[in-house]
Amino acid sequence: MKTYLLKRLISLIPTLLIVSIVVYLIIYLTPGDPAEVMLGDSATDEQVEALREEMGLNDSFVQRYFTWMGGVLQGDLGTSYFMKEDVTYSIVSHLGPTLSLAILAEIFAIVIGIPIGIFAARRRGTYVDQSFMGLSYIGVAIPSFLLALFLILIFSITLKWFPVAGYKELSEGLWEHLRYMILPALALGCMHIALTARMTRSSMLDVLNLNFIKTARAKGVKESIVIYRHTLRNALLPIITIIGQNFGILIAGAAVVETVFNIPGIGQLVVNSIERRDFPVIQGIILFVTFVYVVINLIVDLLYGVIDPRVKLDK
Amino acid sequence: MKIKKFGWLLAVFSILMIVTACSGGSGEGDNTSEGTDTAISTDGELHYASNVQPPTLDPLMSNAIVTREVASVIYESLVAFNENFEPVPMLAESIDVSEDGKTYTFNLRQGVLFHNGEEMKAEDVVASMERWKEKSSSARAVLTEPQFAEVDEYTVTMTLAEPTTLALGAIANTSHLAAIMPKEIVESAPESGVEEFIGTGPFKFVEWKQDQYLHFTRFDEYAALDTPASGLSGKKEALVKDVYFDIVIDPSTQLSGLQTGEYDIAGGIIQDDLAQLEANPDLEYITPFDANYTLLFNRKEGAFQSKELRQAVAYALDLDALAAVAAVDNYEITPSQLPKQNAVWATDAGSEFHNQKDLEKAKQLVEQSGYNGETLNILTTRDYPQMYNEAVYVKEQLAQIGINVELLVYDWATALSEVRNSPQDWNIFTTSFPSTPSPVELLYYAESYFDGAETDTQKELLAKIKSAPTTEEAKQYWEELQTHSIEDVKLITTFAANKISAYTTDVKGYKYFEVPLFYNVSVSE
Repeated sequence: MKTYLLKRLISLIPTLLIVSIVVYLIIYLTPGDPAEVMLGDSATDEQVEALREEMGLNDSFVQRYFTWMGGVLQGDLGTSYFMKEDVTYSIVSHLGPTLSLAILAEIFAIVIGIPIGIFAARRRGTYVDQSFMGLSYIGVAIPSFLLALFLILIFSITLKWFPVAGYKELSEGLWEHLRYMILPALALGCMHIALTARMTRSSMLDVLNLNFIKTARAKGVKESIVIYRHTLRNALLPIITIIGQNFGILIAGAAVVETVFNIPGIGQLVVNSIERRDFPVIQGIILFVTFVYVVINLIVDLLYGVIDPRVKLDK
Repeated sequence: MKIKKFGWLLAVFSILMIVTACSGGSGEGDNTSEGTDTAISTDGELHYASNVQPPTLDPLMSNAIVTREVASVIYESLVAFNENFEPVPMLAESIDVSEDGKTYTFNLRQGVLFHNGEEMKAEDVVASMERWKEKSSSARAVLTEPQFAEVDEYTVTMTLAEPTTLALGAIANTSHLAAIMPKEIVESAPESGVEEFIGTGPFKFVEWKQDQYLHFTRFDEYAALDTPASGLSGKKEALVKDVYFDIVIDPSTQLSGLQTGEYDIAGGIIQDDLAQLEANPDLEYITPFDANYTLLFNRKEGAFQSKELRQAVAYALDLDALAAVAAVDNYEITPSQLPKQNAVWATDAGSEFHNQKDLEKAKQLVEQSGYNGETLNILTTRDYPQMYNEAVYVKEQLAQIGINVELLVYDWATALSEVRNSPQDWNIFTTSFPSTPSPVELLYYAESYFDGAETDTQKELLAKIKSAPTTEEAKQYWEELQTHSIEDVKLITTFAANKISAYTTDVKGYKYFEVPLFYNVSVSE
């Protein structure tokens, strides 16, 4: 287990290094200039040049890459051109909302998706099963921004249960925080609820057809034990995989929902930074998201071993 | 059969469960929302929804409209425009102009405090104005070799090499605002702008939560004038304690937030939502001037060096149809290069060459120009849909007179960079120009501006406007220049767009003059 963990951790380094070079190259080749964006079209060439010089944009590609990488290795992702704050700080301060959103969306996916999946699997082929799976197609297909607008129309403007948009930090109270988060999390999580339900159903069905379940039933084991202890536990691996992957997607893909609900999360930060050509922030976030993806995959792999003793991680 | 029925019941029940789970504890939500959403009172908060975050709060670092808007909350300058666009004293008590018009003496008001508690003195004014003249495009366009000097603690002079009636207007411009800041802050500012935001305005800067909001609070020691409020001048009174400049990118979110009272004023409502806005009795709106949408020709390189070909484009366009395609309802088609609100300078001169809709004449002009059928590029962006739609229309229309056009569609940052750095790639650029105090400050008349290739007539007339002894005389030259510019097709002013600034009926006294005004505004329940 320990050697496995160590191996996986060491394999992180080349992954991140390659990502850093690719990101740097892409940004280097992107047209548009942060100094021009900041100063606007009225600036003279001299003003733009002076600002470029101060920002260090006139150095060569290699020089800039190594200066940046040198900082990254010491845990310094640089300073944002526009926000004038540490990129690490920007990421952390924008991460809170996104993380909260992703966790809530994930909770919805688990709490709603898995029971529906189990329910549908137990009633395979009935109208219930078919209608749930039909609904789940809609859930996967509906774009999050459209769902978001529907939710706002129904729950904010008509019923006035939730605020239209905005963000309150957790420090201002749990309910106050949740009030702003529930609609966005639903809009974001809808697809994942549907995906989780579908995955749970098919994974359960696979296991339900296996001989040991038939044996258990033949022995007269209580149905609830058959379902929850024997079937679900054995069906859990693919479900966990999809939940883990979803989490990465939720974090990286929240931009649209964040824009509609005006939540200052990572997604919005990326979009804004690209528009502003705030290079250090873009690089920092991509590196960070890569890191998150890799770590989540690692955690999922470790969980396999915990849930299914047959999976041995040492070898 | 029984089982099937039961299954259906269960399915319906589960859907209900999901719906109620979604609305988790709705009753509770109701109570809290009544408790917390009532942050609206006469001494309370004003929430303004802006669809862009400013690139900087340093007014000299950007000519972005949003930077003007926030800078005007914090800062003031020596003079400010009244509602007739006349510059009148603001931080100056009085202004004396010498006989030859070359020396301006600003007698400063005494007892005006900065937000850091220190009194504004002549040294602060000199330092601020010296920095302003370096950075401001207005200063560059209008003033000849300006020098600022301290006479005593409360007196500052500005000397010019050439007299001009436009000098005070340039200082009153809200773009690149000549903000008076403490000397230490000005002098320690790096190339990327000041690092502390200290001014003399009725609200002081508290916090900038990136991508969320800017927070300003009432400056209790604000030294208000007692002359009546007019335009940006006169008495300013902070009637709310806190002003939040909320960054709300999505226009429909702005409208929904306005409907639920999340925001009091929304600055970026779009035309598509106008019907919804009008249908709501609790909302009102005003439509201040936004910008002149413009087709800018590249006269430095390529086919549009030919005046006939530029004229062909002008004759080929039906600007009414173009504005309809660009999906704006709130616009005017006018040859005036300054908005009609600017009564001093707005003029219809040159209308005989504007929006002529004559395809036959356009075809003749194409022939005369010797256009060889090469493909011409329109540089545009989808970041501003009106510009993109405009470009699509122009492409179709030019095809009718035999000009081949391709669209170069980039995001705004790239487009700006292309315009500046790759003149060989583009022939027409879709852009827009906000209002300026005088025509001399219009960006496209600046020698450093992209399209280059100024005519002698233009240069001459600009010089005459600047040096004319009276505004009346200057206006005559301006009418000549505007006519020349339209006839020569320096650019085509396609339509003057207005923006929609909406507010709830709880907001009293809201005005927009160059920027949204947050003083003299109250918010009641």
